[in-house]
Amino acid sequence: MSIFEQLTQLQKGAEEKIAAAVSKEELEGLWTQFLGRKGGELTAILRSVKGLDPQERPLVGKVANEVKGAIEGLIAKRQELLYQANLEKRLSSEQLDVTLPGRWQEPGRAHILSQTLGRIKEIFKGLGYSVMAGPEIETDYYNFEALNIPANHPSREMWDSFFLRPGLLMRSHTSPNQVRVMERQDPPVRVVCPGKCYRRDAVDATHFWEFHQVEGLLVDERVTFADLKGTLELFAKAMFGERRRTRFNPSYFPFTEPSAEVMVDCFVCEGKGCRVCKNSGWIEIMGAGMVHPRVLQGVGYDSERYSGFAFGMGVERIAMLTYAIDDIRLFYEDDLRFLRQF
Amino acid sequence: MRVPFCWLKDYVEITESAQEVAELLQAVGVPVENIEREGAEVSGVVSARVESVEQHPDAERLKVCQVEAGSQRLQIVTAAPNVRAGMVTALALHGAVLADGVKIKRGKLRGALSEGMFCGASEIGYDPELLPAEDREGILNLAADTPLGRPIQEVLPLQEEILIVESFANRADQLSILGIARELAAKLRRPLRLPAICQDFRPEDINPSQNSELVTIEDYEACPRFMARLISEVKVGPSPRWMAHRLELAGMRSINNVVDITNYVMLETGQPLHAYDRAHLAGGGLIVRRAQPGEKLTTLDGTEQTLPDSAIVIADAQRGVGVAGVMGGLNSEVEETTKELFLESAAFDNALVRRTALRLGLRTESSKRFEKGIDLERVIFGAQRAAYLLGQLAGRVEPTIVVKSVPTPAPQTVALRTHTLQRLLGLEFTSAQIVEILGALDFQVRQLEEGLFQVQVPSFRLDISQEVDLVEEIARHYGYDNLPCTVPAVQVGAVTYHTDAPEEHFRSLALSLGLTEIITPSLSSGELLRQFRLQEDKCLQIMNPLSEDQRVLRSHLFPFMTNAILRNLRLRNEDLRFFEISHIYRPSKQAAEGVREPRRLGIALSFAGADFFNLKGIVESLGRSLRLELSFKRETLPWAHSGCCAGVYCGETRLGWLGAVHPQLARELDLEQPLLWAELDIDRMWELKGAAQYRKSSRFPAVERDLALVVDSQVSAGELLNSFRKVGGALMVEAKCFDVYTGAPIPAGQKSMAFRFVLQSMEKTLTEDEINKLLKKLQKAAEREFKATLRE
Repeated sequence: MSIFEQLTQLQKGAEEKIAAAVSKEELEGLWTQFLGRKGGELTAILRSVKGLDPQERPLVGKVANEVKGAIEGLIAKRQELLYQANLEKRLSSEQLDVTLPGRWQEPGRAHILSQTLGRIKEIFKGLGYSVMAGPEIETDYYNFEALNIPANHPSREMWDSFFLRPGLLMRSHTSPNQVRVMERQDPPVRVVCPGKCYRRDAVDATHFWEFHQVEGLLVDERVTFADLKGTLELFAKAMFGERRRTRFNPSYFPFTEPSAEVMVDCFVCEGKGCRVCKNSGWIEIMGAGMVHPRVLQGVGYDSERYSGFAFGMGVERIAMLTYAIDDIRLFYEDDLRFLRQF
Repeated sequence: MRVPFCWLKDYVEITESAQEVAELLQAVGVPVENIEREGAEVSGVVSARVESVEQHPDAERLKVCQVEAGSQRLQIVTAAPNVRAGMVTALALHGAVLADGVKIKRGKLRGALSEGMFCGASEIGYDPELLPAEDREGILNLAADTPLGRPIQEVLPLQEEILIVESFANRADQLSILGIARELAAKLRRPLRLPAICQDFRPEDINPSQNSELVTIEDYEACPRFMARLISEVKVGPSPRWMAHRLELAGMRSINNVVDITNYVMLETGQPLHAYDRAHLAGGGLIVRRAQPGEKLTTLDGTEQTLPDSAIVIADAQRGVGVAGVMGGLNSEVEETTKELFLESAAFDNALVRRTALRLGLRTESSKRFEKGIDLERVIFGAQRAAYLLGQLAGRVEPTIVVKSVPTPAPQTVALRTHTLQRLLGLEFTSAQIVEILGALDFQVRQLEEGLFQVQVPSFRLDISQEVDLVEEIARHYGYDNLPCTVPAVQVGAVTYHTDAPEEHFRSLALSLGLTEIITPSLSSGELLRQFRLQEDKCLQIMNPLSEDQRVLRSHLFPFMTNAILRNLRLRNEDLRFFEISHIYRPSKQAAEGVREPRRLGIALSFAGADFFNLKGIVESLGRSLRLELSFKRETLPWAHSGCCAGVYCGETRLGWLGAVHPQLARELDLEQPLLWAELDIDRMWELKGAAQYRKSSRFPAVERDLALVVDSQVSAGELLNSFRKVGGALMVEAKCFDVYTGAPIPAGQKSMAFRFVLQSMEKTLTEDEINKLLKKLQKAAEREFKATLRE
């Protein structure tokens, strides 16, 4: 058999075997069997013809390369065929039930009171206010005296307080921070002071002995009650929605004069009257007023030159109104089923 | 305060509904909490005139009437004896529902059609006692000019409306119906109608020159004014129905005409009064003095009180007969046999009355009114009003008037500048507006010059003492809602500061680490502290808690966080990863006031498989976020597992601790899954935080090499790593311990630790030779310092 015949035969044998191969591994085996450099059949044929006529060599080389190319081509083609066939099978066997649950980790959640407070702070930060949180244990001076609430004044009853000893108490509102801020700096003052407060209230659905307030204070030259109205109206819209209307009723706090309670039209019933607004169509959201000149004078501000307004709101109350939560105690029970809703 | 709407109408003309009045009052700062309605629900009853009355042909006692009820003409058959042609009465039409729920239907009575029924007072739920005596029997006899065909509710006040009015602590005058009426009249710009009073008082009656035995004041500070009147020929009996009815609507029980009048006048004018049976007063006069130590007195409610030293006593020549401003004594009570009255109207020191009422636990209607301040004029007005009513309804007013008093102070005047109004309210007010508003509130206004007024304050306005108080008066009655609305400009260049920055940093980081925020109470019982091995005497305490739950201020967060965990476990929430940011409170000798309240971040983990390193990883992340080099040292805390507890340090500064629950404590808590806590001082961490610094990253490849060593089991990974970092120098980019193994074939008392190093140079690619040399040095150092051997 001439070398050309041997090569043809080799090619034929390879074609048959390749056509019968059913796996990638088998094809790789066939490549080694026919084309491997050490011990492959093609190499063996080429080596077996020693003393080949030098003139024939280029031709033999050419034919051998053609055979090699043909076999490689067949293997590649077969491989592609097998891959495609397998792909179909794999795709059809890997159909997922996409409705099965994902593997996930419960994300952390800020407490609803932190979230509510965060929104309040953000609104006022946007208006150029700083944030300052003072101590929870306060002296009688800051909690009362400096706020124009002298000892034995009947208005002290508005704040039934926990005392550590005479003269030292758990602050019963965040208003002491007004004084602390003004003692620390000269006007202009723009600050909100959030924090926990304490009152000796019997516990029920709307009272807990601890609660959170945010105090606000703005002092400068030429600050008017109109500025108070405009600022708090802006806040109410940012907090409760663009469509909210606000109303201001006269009220009484010893440290502001004139004093006001701030109402928004009920966002639960749109002012028609419901349980939340006690059928009045209006909800009280905070107390406010022009800083009393005695408070300004007490920190050494010239009350003829400077004026300002202050306001204070309960964070629990705002959260309860916003989400129609009916029991203040839920905030302090820390039931995950409650916390995860917000 | 309960303000019957019908009563309010005595003093000001009101055409508005109760709801409208409530809104008007609200707008001037008289908060109306609610409007209550009392009385019967009746429907389908209208006013009607009887046109003709004829005898029923078949029934002797029945009459057949033709009736006009507005547009309708109807035939009604009735048995009422007082029916007569021309009278206007109440007619229940077909379908009407009466006060007792009975429904009226058209029907035939002995063959005659009756299209409804005439009603008497009780059938429509109206109190017959409120009618003239001759009209109480039979069907209603309404005024002849009553419009016909109108619902009966429009004709007779079947339902009384009561405004529930709150009063502010500074407005003593708002604890009276007259005071509320004054605000309403001012708002409506209608005149205030004062009630009738005895007109016999003359200014000379104050401190008459001849000494009267009737009143002796020992302490004028405790009692600056005391007025007495005598009523003779007294007939004690029931009050007239209208008065009893009003008192009941206002929430008071009717007792007898004398007591009712004192209560009525108190509600009307705000002046508390007391009437004594003069026959029971030894010597016939009264002495006002301070209580003697340990003095006892039985008050009208029948309890024997030991009087506190703040108490002011009203006494006769022999004994105490009343606690001034709080409650009268049982021994001088007005009885049916009382013939002569001693009427007391006085002013007492508000602070003393308040303290006495609090000590005795007797916050009475009287003490509530005295507590808010003293109005000397009201003493006289109240007495003269009561004397008038007593003269009308109970007896004869004797001409004697005794008023013992400090000199009547000159009326207070306050200056008001229009400039101040403009400066605080942002609006110009005209002189006319100022005079109109203040005048309507009984202030006397005198213009001194352009833009300056002198304002005289009425005696009952104890809350007005300076200019800004008048600014509020103007603002209130001008209407807050009518004032302009502006927003102050944001100042360019104003410096802001945010002390909540540390808190917000740790909150957002904790959230990103999958922790859920909780808020727990800051006050607790001593029991809770003891359960968690904390010492109560190292905590701050509340002097006046309402309950044991509020007695101690927390010195740690973890007991409270544990409570939250336990509560959730009972609710079958089992994967619990909590954090809380809060103050804790501790006594401190150095701090001002002897207390300090650092802010803490508490973490509590409890879930199946949770261990120390879950928590430590979180703490390390928190440290890294502030570029803090944290180190951990074993520590013993009474509530933590002694083997799984560490102090957290940055250099020499202790920042907090972390640890697993002590097994004994876990058993006491019935805890079946792991529980770990950490508490960190966030303000201290924030102070130490490092600034971000840019460092070039190496362009040359990093290589990773492992080293397994066997060491004594006491040797800690931290010690070894410290040594490796020192030896490795700049080339050691990272060193960590990734495996610890004890057990065969490692000998007992020893352990195998596997370390992984990442080595990299800034200047070149490290050669195999350089790497091996460094590893050898690391190994030698471990051998030398920790007697480590290479694990085979």
